[in-house]
Amino acid sequence: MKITIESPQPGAQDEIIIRCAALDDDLLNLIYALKMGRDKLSGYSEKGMTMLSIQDIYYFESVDNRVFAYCEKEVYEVRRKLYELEAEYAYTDFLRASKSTIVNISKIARLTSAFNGRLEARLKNGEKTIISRQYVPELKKKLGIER
Amino acid sequence: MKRLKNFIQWFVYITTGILIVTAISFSILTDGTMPTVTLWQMLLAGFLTAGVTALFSPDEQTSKRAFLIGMFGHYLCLCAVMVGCGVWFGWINLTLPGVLMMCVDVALVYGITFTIYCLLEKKNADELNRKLQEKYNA
Repeated sequence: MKITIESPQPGAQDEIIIRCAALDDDLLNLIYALKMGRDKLSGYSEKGMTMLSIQDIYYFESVDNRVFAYCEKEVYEVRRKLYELEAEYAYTDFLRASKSTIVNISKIARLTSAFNGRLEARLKNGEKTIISRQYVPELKKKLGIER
Repeated sequence: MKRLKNFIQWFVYITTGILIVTAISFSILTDGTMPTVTLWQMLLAGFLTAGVTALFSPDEQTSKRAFLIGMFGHYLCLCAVMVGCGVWFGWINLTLPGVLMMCVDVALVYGITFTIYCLLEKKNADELNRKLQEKYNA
């Protein structure tokens, strides 16, 4: 693998571009490490702005066109759209669970079957969220149970 | 393709349930012998009821109460289909006892099918939990 380091234009944000013919397991692991290890997200609460570590976020939920990040005990508003977060964290532990939620599967303590083909995810902080039927195949793929 | 897969899945579950209930019925109510044509009738009944079941697809946002009401409506549709099949195939007469007996049989098949479905869903969830444990040592 060839690695090239360039200096960005003045004022430009640091950026990592991965140029590849196909995303293999090594590259996916690299992206995962970059995203989950270093990425920070601005979260807003009554106390002001906080830089949230992605690993600390249990799930994102969209309510009334506002997106909230739920950590173990705290909730922060995130000024991003749900589909943007879904695209940005596609190769990480974050899974689109329903029309209004994205869940961090590393924070799932247990899954139980709910009616109508859905799964109920009990998170490590005791909260529960539903994984819709249409997103269960993606969950299986992330856990390596592709059929 | 997804609809077809869904239909085939329900056809297998329901036909298994019909087979069990028919085996019990024939053992209790007859001398235990069954005409060959009954096997084809069972398959056709399974096909028709699987079709009805595949169409019964509650919305994701359905509440538990609405889901249960929908299930009851689904059961009534299945009873109607099976009473029709029962009269057509000569399994029952179109009398109150005949119709009630068919409704009981449908309830038994419904119960068996639902049990199979729940067991498979639980197995699915157990496998996912095992994978979660392996990956994240939860």
